[in-house]
Amino acid sequence: MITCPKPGLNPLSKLVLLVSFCVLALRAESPGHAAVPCGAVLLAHAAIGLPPAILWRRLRGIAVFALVLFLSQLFLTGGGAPWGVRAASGVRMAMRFLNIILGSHLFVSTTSAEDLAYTLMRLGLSYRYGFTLLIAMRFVPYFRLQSNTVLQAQMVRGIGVDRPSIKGVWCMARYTLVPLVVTALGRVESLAISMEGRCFGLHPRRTFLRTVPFRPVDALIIAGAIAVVGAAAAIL
Amino acid sequence: MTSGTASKGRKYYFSTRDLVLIAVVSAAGGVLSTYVGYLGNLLNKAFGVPFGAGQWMAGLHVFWFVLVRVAVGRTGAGTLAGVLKGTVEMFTGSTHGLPIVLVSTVEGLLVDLALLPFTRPPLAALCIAGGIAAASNVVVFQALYFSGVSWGYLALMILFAFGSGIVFGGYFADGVLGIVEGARILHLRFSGDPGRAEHTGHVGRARRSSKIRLAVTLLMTVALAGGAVYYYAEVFEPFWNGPTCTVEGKVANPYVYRPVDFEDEAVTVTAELKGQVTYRPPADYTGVPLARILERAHPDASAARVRVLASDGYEAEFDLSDIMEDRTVILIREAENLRLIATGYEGGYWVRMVTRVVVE
Repeated sequence: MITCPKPGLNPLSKLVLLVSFCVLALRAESPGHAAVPCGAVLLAHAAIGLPPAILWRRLRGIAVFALVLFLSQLFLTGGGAPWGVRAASGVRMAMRFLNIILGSHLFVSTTSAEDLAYTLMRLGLSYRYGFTLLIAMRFVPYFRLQSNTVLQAQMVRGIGVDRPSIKGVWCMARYTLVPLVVTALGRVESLAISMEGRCFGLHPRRTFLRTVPFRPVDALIIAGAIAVVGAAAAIL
Repeated sequence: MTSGTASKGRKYYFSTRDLVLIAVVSAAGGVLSTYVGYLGNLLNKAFGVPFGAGQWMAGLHVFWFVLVRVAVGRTGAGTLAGVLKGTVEMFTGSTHGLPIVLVSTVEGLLVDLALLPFTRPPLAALCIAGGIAAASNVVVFQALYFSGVSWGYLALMILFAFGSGIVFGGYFADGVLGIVEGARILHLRFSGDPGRAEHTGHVGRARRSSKIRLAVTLLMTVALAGGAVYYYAEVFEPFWNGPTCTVEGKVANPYVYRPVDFEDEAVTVTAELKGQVTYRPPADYTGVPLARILERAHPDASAARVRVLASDGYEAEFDLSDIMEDRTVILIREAENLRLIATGYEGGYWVRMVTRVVVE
């Protein structure tokens, strides 16, 4: 597993950058305009030290779907538009998709959900809601394990939970979701009792052992991102 | 018991138990969504389409929002679950990136809005909420990526998603709630007081009449089957088809003409439309000569005329020998229809929406 070094920006700055980047990707009307943010985000991937081979392995499925998007624009769009117009539209849509996914990938690769939650809480989000995100993220590995166990167990029993058919979807829902829901809900009461036993929610505010610094460069980046999006909205 | 909303006299809209419930269910939904997406892709491959068939799975994404909204019993639970599930999905490597947070939030919000009037939503409300929320993902993704795809194809995807939402987001979620309530795994807010439930006639979901379930299932099946039959019979055209017309009559080889089959034989002519009402100045038109289209059908030696008919019944008649010698009368593609450019003929011979070419 590759661990990406963190560039040191505050998660809020990175979130604003991501949202701004996605807005730019959506506003780009020509392949040339779309290529600029695409190049920038690929360079950013290189800057955080992610080897191209690893990036390709993670995103090759995305590239295939971008190709599907391109082909769908080419063949599924109506109106009798010339092939050249359809191809340009296909490239635009595929680039839009690639840009958004690449931007999101960069964000996720360099940001932890915990840091984001702590930042939002320091900015005024109620800690009760911030902890909800933390609880959800902390249960992810547990549910991954549980869902794999349930799926394997049902497949061993010969239940077609992995078959690409309507019946398979129903089997998957019935024989996978129900055990997982029961497992999930079974944890709720004990965790809630445990949290309230520790006086969670007793006070409207609380202090945090862990802090994520917000530096002047973060403020500059946020201001810059907003300015770029504003300028793009006016120009494009 | 922990389900109170007060701590040291402090009142919260969502209790700690509610928040934990929302978080845990969102985490489970976020984890399983990866697998649901994988199955959706398999369905697409099985149906041989680039995307769309996977919408049969859309209801499995909104199932969690309906479940949590009913279990918590408060408006806003669905939206919060939407934000959390989307965030979990994004951080756990969703192939949709940031937009999945938007899609998920919209789904949760719609569940909340659809169930706004209900403390204890009936099955029909759950089905409608699930259907609407599931269908919303098509609209959001359309707005982001699929601009220009035919409305028919989008309508089919929305139909699939809506049906899936009814089945999995409504009917199935109701069944799961019945199981967890019946097994005392979770105390639903509205069922906390059994006496009140009995008094108001609200029996447990586990005891909901099986006849109602059967009726809902049959209704949904009929609606989905009817919609699918209607679509495939009246709307759907394979994307490789484009406009077509039949070449028939006194020919040895009647066939269905498709412009794509004659792409290499297209010619460009300059023609001027002079009709009794309409006038169009000279312009370039690119299409396939009608003579070439007729040659492929091998007209009989006895044939003398050719009629070009439109879908609305309009037609124009030509002398066959004139047409076979004239390479400037061409059939062009105009939007999703075929149009005859009758160079040198009156405007009345320029037939729109051509569907049949009959040799007589």
